Amino acid sequence: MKTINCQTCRAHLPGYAARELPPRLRALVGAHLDACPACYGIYRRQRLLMGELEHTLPLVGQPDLAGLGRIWSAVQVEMKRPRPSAFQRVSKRQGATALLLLLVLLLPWSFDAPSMTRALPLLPTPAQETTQRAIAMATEGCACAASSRAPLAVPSATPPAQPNYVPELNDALSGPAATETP
Amino acid sequence: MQPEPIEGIIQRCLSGEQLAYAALYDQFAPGIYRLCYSLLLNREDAEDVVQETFVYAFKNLHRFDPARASLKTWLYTIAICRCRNLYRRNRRPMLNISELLHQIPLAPHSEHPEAALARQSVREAVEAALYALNPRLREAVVLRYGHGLTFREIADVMDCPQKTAESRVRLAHDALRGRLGPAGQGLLEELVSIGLDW
Repeated sequence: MKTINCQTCRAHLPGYAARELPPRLRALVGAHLDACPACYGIYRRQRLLMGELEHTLPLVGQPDLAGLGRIWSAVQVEMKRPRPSAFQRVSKRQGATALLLLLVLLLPWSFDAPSMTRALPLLPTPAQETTQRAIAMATEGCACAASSRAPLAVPSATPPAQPNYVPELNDALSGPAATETP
Repeated sequence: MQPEPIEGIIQRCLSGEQLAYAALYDQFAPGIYRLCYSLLLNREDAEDVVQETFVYAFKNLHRFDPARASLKTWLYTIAICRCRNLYRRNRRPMLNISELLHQIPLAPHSEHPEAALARQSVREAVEAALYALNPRLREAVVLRYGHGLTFREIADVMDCPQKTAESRVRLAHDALRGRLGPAGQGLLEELVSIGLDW
């Protein structure tokens, strides 16, 4: 038959003494108590203490009728009070916490963001860069600017030249027939 | 005359009958008060918690599910939650010594003065022992011996496994054995010899 050790037996002693253990476990604890004088001694002391507590604990906190009547009056007053709205139910502490959290979230956005924006200069657009360089060339002189700087990329209205493009030859090859629609 | 079943009283409460609320209160308030006082060991705190418990229970009675727990277990669960909130606020229960001294019950005419004195001493010893216990152990031992709940019910009320409830009661035994030994057991034997009817 399976047996249990002293530690398991002592853990189940309150349930055993109260007759609330399952039958199989109860049989195991009973068999161990029969065989172990140390656990049986603990069980006997526990039974004494249980009897003592069952007698004495119900004496603690016996209510008086006046006290219970006072509580009932207070309960009735509370029951008649209208139920507060959801907004009113939020306590002051919860409201303060929410407000603090909102401030903490907003603080970096409202305080740090502009200074960071100021700290980083904007990159110039190509048009601005071209204008600035043209102004620099005008003030310093074209020769100096051309010698010391890279060639200026000035946008032109005409498309870029294509290699092997000969206007006369292309016009002759296409001719008026090629250009006319049937 | 048989008492009305709890389910019937609850139905009457839900239909708005004020007398039904009073019937529920009369039935459960003494037990809830004893529980709260045993855990908090302070009369004012216990009265506040009883009031909060019943106000909450009556306002949320439509949420009570008889399939999950009995009304007694449900009320005890609410009361213990409120008591725990109070522990957290106060950290330690405040034992009002002067209040205890003024609450010495007068001995009935038929009671021996020695028996009354012994009974008072036992109660004081028990309260002092409860005061020294860890709150969780105190809850377990009060529910078990002060209110006769089974370990299954204690586990439901304390929201823990049944084995944990058994362990807490066992640990409370170990803690109480040393404290109650000289005052409790000796006086109990004396009471038995005097023939006091508890």
